Amino acid sequence: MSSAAAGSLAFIQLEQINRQPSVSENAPAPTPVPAGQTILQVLQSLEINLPQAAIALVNGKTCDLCYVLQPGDQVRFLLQISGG
Amino acid sequence: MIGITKLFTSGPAFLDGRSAYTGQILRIDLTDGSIWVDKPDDAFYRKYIGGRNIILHYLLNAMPAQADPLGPDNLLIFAPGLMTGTAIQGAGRHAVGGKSPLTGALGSSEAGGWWGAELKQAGFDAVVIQGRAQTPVYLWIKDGNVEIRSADHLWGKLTADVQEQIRVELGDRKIRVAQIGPAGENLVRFASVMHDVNRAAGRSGLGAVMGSKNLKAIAVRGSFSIGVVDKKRMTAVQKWVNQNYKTQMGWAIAAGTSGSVKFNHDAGATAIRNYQQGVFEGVEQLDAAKLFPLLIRERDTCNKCPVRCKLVAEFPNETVGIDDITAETIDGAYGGPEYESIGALGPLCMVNDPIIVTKANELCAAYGLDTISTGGTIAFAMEAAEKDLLPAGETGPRFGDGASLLESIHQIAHRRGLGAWMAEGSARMAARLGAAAMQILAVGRGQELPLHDPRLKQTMAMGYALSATGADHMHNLNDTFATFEGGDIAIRLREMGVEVPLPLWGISEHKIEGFYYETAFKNFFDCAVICHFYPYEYRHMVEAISAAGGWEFTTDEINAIGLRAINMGRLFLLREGFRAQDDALSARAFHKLSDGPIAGKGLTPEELNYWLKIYYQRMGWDEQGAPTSETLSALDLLLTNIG
Repeated sequence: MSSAAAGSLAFIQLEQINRQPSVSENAPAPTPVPAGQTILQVLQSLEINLPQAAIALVNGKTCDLCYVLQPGDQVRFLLQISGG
Repeated sequence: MIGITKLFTSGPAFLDGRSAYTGQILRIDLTDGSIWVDKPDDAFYRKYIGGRNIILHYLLNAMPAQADPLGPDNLLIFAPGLMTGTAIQGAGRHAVGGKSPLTGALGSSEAGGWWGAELKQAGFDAVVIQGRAQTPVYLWIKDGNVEIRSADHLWGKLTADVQEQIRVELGDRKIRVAQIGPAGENLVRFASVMHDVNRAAGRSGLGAVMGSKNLKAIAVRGSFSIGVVDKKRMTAVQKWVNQNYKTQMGWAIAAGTSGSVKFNHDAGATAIRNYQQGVFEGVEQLDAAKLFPLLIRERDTCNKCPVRCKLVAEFPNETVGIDDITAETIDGAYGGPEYESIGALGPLCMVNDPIIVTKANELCAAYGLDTISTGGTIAFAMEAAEKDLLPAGETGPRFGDGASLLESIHQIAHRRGLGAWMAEGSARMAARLGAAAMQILAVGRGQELPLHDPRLKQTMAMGYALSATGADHMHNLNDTFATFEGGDIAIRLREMGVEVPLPLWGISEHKIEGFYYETAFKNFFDCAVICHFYPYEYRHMVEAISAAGGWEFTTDEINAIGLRAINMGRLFLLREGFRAQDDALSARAFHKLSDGPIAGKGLTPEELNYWLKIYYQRMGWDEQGAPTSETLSALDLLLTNIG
């Protein structure tokens, strides 16, 4: 990771990418990543493949993967299950 | 017994291996008991395939314009498709259609199970019913023979009881039954047609159409086997499914749609408290993770489907019932709830008790009610009660009060008390209650919105406003399903030259391009009739249709099938008096939330209207949303009689 100043970091819950935590689990500490890129770009630079159909929640709000991360943003993923 | 007619002079087409269609469409006039058969040619089947296109063909050509949906001139059409009953997986489905008494527009709803395949095995591609019987009747269709039988002894009974009674009196436990429950008999405007007890052709009130004809049930039994012209070609598609369904449809195998409850809530897809709230405490009680250990006894499936996505719910010793259904139990005969049902009867009404929500789902199957419109109408009534908008003397149901949710369903089915208002649907109820009630309404073309929030899924919202059936989430583009590169939607769009993934938020010309192709494909599915959960690509459907029909089908023809359905649906709307201004959503579709994952988000009516005009252009419709003659000609629809 680059030597970005602490004020330009966003934070991503990477552990959830491949599984959903159970309700009783405490969320592990999120991974700091540089702000100013899209969520997708950050994941690509970390060589992480999102499983199919993940939705990103940024600060509790539903966001696109092409959302540009702002300093201080907290990101977690919901794994989408299909169906009508 | 009232009438008996033997119809076959020669066997169905597929007996000779000529096609997967029978070549015979059964016509019945219940007014005078006459029965006859249409024998369309091969070109008809290639042009329409089946399902929704057959429904629309008959509505446009065999029904007078602007007929009363509850009158004898309305048609009630049961239409399997070319694929129904063939060996391809996901074809255990058929369509039911007519003019909707809820919306005054198209009714065209699909159901799974086994009934559709059995009808084809009995020798018919579709049944088109007109007129009205003098007294309650049911139809008995067996291997080309058709009887109209008295149903006096069945009228008023619940769906599980009726299926059992018909099987006993006709002496065959393999009979498949399509039927209405008491809700359809009482002409509830969102009454469903139930099949195999718990498989609903749910939306748009086709159960009321059936009830208005005094038709209680259609029993079918067929021993002809449905063939295809090119078995080897079809087998190749089946093989692809066998090799891939466990991974690609793992979600459906694991928990069916009930596995998406928590996710949808957390993403902001599930409307809460009649569209007023962004977060619902305790929603995880309704998710599969909690439902399964508490309630789910086993899984169930449809004809020839290996996935088994359906739930069978059972609960002993829980007193939740009142009135006709003395419920110390939840009865497995009525299946278990899907996501839409859970959403509409749970968070929308602020109920997070899984027993209550599952019981509510059971009541809807027993009475024959669409769960989405039932939950939507009750949630509307709950808010109306809270805001003191109900008629004098009515207390109404209350948010979060499970007993009043269940009581409301009983009232609706019997048109009793406030149920007489709710049975008309939330749109008519709001119109009667006045301007303040119109502000809390959540419908598209008069039909209650599905539980895919239009404020999150904005291209789907446009689809809700456009659909000829009223708001529908199935022959639509689901914005959140198209936001990633994998998956069948992305594969299909990429093949059509649409860049994927689609952005999640908003509407754009890019998303409209995706909407154009995906709605064409989904409408094709509803003609075939194929389960939307199957991740078929164009190539699979080209092979399957070619194999079934003995044709050389193409990707363009697949899209043309769907575009015909959309354009015929549009012609039907125009004939029945709808205009561009009716492509609309009611107030709550635009009401922005102040909390939760989609706070502050949503289309404005101006934005919706802007994008509708862009869509009209893309479809080759004029600024009034009417298909041009060039567009109709390109789809071979120019001579379609619109009365």
